Amino acid sequence: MDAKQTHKAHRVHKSGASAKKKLQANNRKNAEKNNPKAFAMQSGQKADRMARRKAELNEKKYHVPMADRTPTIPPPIVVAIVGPSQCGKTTLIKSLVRRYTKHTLSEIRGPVTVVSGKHQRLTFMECANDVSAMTDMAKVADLVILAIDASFGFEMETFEFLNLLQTHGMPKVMGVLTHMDGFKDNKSLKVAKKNFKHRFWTEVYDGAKLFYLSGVENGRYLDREILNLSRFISVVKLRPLAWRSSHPYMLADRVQDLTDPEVLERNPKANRTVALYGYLRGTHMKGRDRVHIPGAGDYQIDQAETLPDPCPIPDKERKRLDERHKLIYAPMSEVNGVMYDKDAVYIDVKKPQHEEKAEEGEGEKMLSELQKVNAITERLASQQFNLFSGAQPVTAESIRRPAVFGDEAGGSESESESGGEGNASEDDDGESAEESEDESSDEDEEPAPVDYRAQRIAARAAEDSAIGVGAEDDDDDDDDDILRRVDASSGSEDSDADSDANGSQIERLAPIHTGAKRVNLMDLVYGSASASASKPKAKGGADDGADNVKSLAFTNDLDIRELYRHFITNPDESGDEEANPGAAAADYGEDATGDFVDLEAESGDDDDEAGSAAGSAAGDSDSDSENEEEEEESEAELPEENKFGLSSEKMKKLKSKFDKIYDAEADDGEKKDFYQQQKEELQSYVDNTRNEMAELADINYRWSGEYVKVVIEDMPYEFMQGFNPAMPVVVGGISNEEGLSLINLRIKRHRWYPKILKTGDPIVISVGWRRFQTIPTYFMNDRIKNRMLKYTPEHMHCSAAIYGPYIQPGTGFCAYFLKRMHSFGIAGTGTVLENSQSIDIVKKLKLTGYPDKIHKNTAYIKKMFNSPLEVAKFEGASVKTVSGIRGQVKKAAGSAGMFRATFEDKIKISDIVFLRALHTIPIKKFYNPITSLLSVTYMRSIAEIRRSKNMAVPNKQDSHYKPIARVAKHFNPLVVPKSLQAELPFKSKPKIIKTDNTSRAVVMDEHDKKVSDLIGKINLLYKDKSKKKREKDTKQRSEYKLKRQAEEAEADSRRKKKRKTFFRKEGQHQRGGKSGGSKD
Amino acid sequence: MSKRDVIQFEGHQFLKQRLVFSILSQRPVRIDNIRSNDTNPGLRDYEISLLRLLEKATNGTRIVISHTGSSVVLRPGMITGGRIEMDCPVSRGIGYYLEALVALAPFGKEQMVATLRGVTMNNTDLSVDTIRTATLVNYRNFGIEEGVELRITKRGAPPKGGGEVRFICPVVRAVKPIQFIDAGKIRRIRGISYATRVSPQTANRMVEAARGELNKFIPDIYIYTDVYKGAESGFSPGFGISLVAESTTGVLMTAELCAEPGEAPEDIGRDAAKMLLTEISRGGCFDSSHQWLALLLMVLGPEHASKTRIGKLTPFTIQYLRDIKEFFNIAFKIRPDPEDNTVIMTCMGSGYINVGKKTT
Repeated sequence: MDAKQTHKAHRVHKSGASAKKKLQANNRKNAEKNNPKAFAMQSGQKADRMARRKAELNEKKYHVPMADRTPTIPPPIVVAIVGPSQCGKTTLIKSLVRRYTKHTLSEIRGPVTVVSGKHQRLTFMECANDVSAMTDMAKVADLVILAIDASFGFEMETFEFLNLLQTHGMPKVMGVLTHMDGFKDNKSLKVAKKNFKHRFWTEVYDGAKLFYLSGVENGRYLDREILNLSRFISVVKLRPLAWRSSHPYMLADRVQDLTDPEVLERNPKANRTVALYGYLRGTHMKGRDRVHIPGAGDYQIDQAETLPDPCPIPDKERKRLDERHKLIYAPMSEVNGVMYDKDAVYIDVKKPQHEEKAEEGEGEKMLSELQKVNAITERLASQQFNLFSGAQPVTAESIRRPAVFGDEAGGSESESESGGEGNASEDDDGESAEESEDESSDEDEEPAPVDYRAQRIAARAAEDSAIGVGAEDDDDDDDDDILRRVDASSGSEDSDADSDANGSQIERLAPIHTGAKRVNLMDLVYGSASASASKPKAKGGADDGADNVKSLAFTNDLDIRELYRHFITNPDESGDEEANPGAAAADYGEDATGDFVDLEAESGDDDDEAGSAAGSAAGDSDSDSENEEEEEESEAELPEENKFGLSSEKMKKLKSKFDKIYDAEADDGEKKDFYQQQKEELQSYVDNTRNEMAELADINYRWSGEYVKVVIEDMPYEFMQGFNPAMPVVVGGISNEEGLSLINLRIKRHRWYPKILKTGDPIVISVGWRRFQTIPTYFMNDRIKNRMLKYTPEHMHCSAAIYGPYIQPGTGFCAYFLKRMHSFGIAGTGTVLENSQSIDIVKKLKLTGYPDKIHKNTAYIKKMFNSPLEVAKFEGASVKTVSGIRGQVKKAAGSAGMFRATFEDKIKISDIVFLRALHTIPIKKFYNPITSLLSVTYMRSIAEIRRSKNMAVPNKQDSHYKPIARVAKHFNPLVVPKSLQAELPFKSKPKIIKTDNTSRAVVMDEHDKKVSDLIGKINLLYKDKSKKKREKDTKQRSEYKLKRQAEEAEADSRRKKKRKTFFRKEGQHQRGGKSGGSKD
Repeated sequence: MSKRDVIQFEGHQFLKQRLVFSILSQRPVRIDNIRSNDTNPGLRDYEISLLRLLEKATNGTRIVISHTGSSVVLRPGMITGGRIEMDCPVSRGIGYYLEALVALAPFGKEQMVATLRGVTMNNTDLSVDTIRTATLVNYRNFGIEEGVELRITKRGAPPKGGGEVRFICPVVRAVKPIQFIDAGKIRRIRGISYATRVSPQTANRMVEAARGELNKFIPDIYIYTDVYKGAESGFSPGFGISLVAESTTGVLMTAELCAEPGEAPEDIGRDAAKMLLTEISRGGCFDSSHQWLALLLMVLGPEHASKTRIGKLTPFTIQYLRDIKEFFNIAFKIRPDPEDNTVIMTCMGSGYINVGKKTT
């Protein structure tokens, strides 16, 4: 074949433009090689900077490692087609479906799954232009195709949807520009494309893919353009998103009502049993799991079942996708004339649109009969009936045989297995007790915590003589009687009514056995044998070990050889450390002790220390003393250079072994950085899980990627009644996110939302799977307290306290108002910070009062409180007057809420007294899941209610801001009383002086002028003179000062010197005296 | 709308685990007929203290005890942690209460610092020494490593108690799944021999007896003697020994025994050693008194498979598994390994995330 297909070799151009170009490029490539000096490092600083920049860029590439749980056969990729109405979403899906399967769908209802490649399937879902549908789609879409009407421009829906995506984990986004045929000339088209592209890039990321669909042909986009789009879809790479990879979820592509028609006849509004079908994504799911269906609420799955994949990937590895493998699965749309509706399967007979109640023809009747039969089989599967009263109900499921391993033990009673054969007596005893148990009636006796002593003594007794020993339950549980006594003869008197499985104490606490006589443990624990015990309503449990009480039983005659298996010192394992091959000899015990001598010596110093620290002289038991002696002997024999008592050969061997283990570890640790390690660890979890899937097969897990039917039994009837396939039905698993609590969010008003948000306005929060309405209380933490805010800040984050179900901290959320009031709908975004049962949010409270009576520093304040009780709550609180005099609330005085307060100074009667306090505001516990798939009832904001009722905003006169008109304070003149005046000295007496108030102008004559001129001149002269003198003086003074300073310094140094010499002498003298003294 | 009803139980048995599960799974629980046919019906003092402790360790928990005390309804709140102090009744050891805290504390809002006073060792509950040297060490398999501490400030022997311990436990966002099947070989044995208000020699005598029994098997034995005196030694005399055997893969096997009046220290030491050997002979990666911890933390792990090997299922564990199924809807795959008479337990984690833990 190869020989046939030889092609002519490509001949490279040797001249011409392209050859020249190539040569140049080559030169450039080799430039560094040819002239290394030119590329040498010029500056160390620059190199350093470059290195740092590179490191930073590398660091940016890191993501928090996440376990990639994508199964080997991944579920179809959910491709959401989103866009405003009339922008060509449906046409796009139709074109794509046509491209993949050659099917022309007349109508798109619900998800459409197609096989798009050898390893890839796609589920197309058109997203209705509705905020609920958009939110739900944003939570499940793996790939989003944003359809944009180019003739109209960007619409708000697109931006809203992008914001929803960002908060719920950003999937891949592609843009599609439709209606491109509206542009008349090529230039305007080019400009428009460019503008669209750049706007799109700023919103998504630079280089985001934007496709241009230029026109419609035969109701589809041009094949070539769709082919290009499909190529990009086929190579899309999906990153795991945190929320979705840790929760199971399913986008239902078929919804079926399984409710019994009889029930519906009786009560058409009865809760429905609904089956939801879809591919399971994310993690695993199983029956009885709790799920949340956005738009419908929390439910418990009553049944989860894996169905054969309706749209499988070709099982065999093929070169290309065969025509017959290009499957399409769209149960709610009409494919090949078959359509699955909520309660029936429709087969299109001629008429394109088939109405449910328009069945008239005979054939159609027959068909409808057939459909009913189908429904009955469905019902049968879910029904159960009792064969006998009180028996386990028989269901279609239960008839199927569960996988059982091992040989099924007849009675799955717990039987104690002993390490060896020594427990026969105990077993007997246990059985006898059991029998007696069965006979004895249901007296419910309180078993005291435990009778450990019985076990121990029983164990010892069993050792002494193999007589059956039973334990008697002493029913008192007084402190001193907690300890039970053992009565060898009263084995049958065991009065523990609860312990129906295990009677005697030894039996009870001895672990249930697994081994030789094989019991099916799954059955024992979960199975029907113990159903009565495991049922919550049933009596306590099989055992009366009310808690994890210690088992004090032990067996004396443990098989020593068996036991050795568990120790590293096992002499049987020849490969192991210091095993003496001869130790397997018959006289085991002797050999063992002999063997251990070496080992003890080997473990060396540490053990010796231990011995001495513990003060164990090891004189008690024989073996021990032997040990000790032999140890000494062996130590004496050893050559001195080896303190471990091993031959050098062995030491080498040990060392190489040690090196191998530890060096290898160290090497590995160095090679892998932290990030790599984390990634590997996560990957190992995923791999382990894959390996265990087979093992867990009989626990009925539904794994990700399977096509699953989920039955929910208590769905409100509205779900089916108003079912609209255009609305996505998402089944999202929730693990421990159900309890209600207060949630602390960090929120920021969206910068495009035209208003700020108000505390108390009910808002819809979309977080996790849920959408719910709640009343937020906005606040800000100022490091001391959480201050309530009436409105969110304009451009800043603030916190919000809401009431809702637990959400993992760190999850993003999106807030919007149910009633759209502005062109842009997303009101705010943020993250969940904390779930808490209490959040302390305070607001300022300022109480005012007026002094009633003022003593020296004490005043009685009125009108602040209404009762002594209120005062009592504020005793000790600090108060303040307007003028700033501080004080304290002391005690209530009188019954009208008056109180005594003390101040740091006397206050005035005209003062106002303030009490400034913080008032904790309760957070409104309002949680209203938005049931958009049922019927929506929601709370309106006060403004909305007012608007609807045409009520004016209450207008408080007090709250108006008016210009403050202050009356000028008029002080009365000081009046000295006459009696006081009389006593004042003349000097101080007010005098009545007659003054002529009229001032007169002074007009100088010639002489006066001269005089004043002269005086002025004299003054000038004097000023000048005195100034000069002052300057001179200061100069002299400063000179003198300097002189003094110099002198002073000199004197100082002299003095210092003198002092120094003096003290030196003094010190020497003292020291001399001391040393002299000490000598003495 | 949802079937989120109260889980109902009857009888006083397994009260503790059910309360703990209720708090962890956030599902309300109702327990009826608590010793209703007893001459002294209703909850015992230690059970009431346990309820009180749970209330202290959580925020928003509502507990309603019926007039006769024979039924309890618990509506769980959030585990908060923080400082907790409690005087525990002496009818049960501190271990009884600590076990509940050990299960809850890692999933709290903040680090738990619990000070419990009462009986530190008895023969019903795990002694604080075993909890310190084995239970809390077993945490590390699940990624709870740094900051776990149990300090025994005072020892209190029954009947009067007077001991005090301080339990510090950090919070985690989620625990790790485990694949712990290799039980390894026992490589060393450690222990604590403690005595209060008796001759200090008692502790040494227990050590000797225990070593005499164990030295046959392994030389690396070190049993600390811990004699408390004066104010730190509680109100009653007593002594006991707690032994821990550690394997090459980090398996911890424990046994402990506490003396009763009139028992010789040698007997206690020897019996404890034999109990340890019995425990070792059962095999597995978690000993019989720590099966519950392993199973619980496996269930609370992320949505990955966890697998471990345990010696033998105790009746307590069987009920424990049933209760786990009731609360968390998780069944274990239980497969006996006939090779060494152990049981291999496999389960998928529930994806439990500590929602109380704050993020910044």
